Amino acid sequence: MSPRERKMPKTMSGHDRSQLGFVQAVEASFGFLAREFGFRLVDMQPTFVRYESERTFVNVFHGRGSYELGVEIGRWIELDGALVEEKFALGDVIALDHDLSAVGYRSYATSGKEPLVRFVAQLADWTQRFGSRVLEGDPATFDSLRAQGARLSQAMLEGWRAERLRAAADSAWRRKDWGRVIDAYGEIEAELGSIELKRSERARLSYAQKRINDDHR
Amino acid sequence: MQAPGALGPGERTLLDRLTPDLGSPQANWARNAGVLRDEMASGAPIRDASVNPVTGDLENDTGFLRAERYLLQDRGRTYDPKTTFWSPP
Repeated sequence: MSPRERKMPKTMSGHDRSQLGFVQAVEASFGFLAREFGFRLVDMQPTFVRYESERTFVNVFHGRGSYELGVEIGRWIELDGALVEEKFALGDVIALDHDLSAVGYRSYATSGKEPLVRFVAQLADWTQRFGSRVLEGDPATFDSLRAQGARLSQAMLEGWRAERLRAAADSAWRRKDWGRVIDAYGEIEAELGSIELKRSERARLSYAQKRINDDHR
Repeated sequence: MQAPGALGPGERTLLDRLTPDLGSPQANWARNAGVLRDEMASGAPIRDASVNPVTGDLENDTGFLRAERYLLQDRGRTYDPKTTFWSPP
């Protein structure tokens, strides 16, 4: 590993964050974790509260830089002889069996005390209604979450790669560089399983292939 | 990330450059994006810490993290799930 490798940036919470009452809001709304699922509170900080049971853990956070509110539910798995955390966002847990828009799920971010209390209560309600199988540590549900995460991650990465290839194809089209047009659209077709060429892109690809063939006659 | 062992050999954290909380998401994002652009300019690979530990797939793609990833890919960096690094073009 290179000594120049870097980590993604993180932001430390400021001293005044405790005034927003995040910890109190979480304690007031997430009590069901202890009552119904046997969790215990193991960590309380101005922007982070964690509960653990024997098999699973729940992180409730108020983003240190983003002020985004969120819930992660996870388990411990053995990897290369060590126990590591595998965790999933509440939205992903809900999306496993439900349409997020039908549920009304959305991301929350706030730097206000009153909305913070309301949003934390809403997150707790969703966790209680839709999270029971992961809170109980059901292995099959966690495996499904991992598979869903793989699909989403691949689709995101392929979407970005497609953006770059489309830009390259567009630029090549204007330059009448038919070979590069074929390369770029062909790469999307051959390697990006979650992306489909648009009708206009297929037409460009066909045209470029015809021009290349004509040139070689 | 501050826990012992959270950093691999040869890695360093950017935490010291990201304090304190500036009091609003906008101000914090402006600062974070600036730090990230500086790091990208250095050409060093950047490890994504919010990934599935088994598959390397990207997780928690919301808020600042999504914006940071977008910034990375917008500057031509590509993510490799096998190494969990964003590498320069």
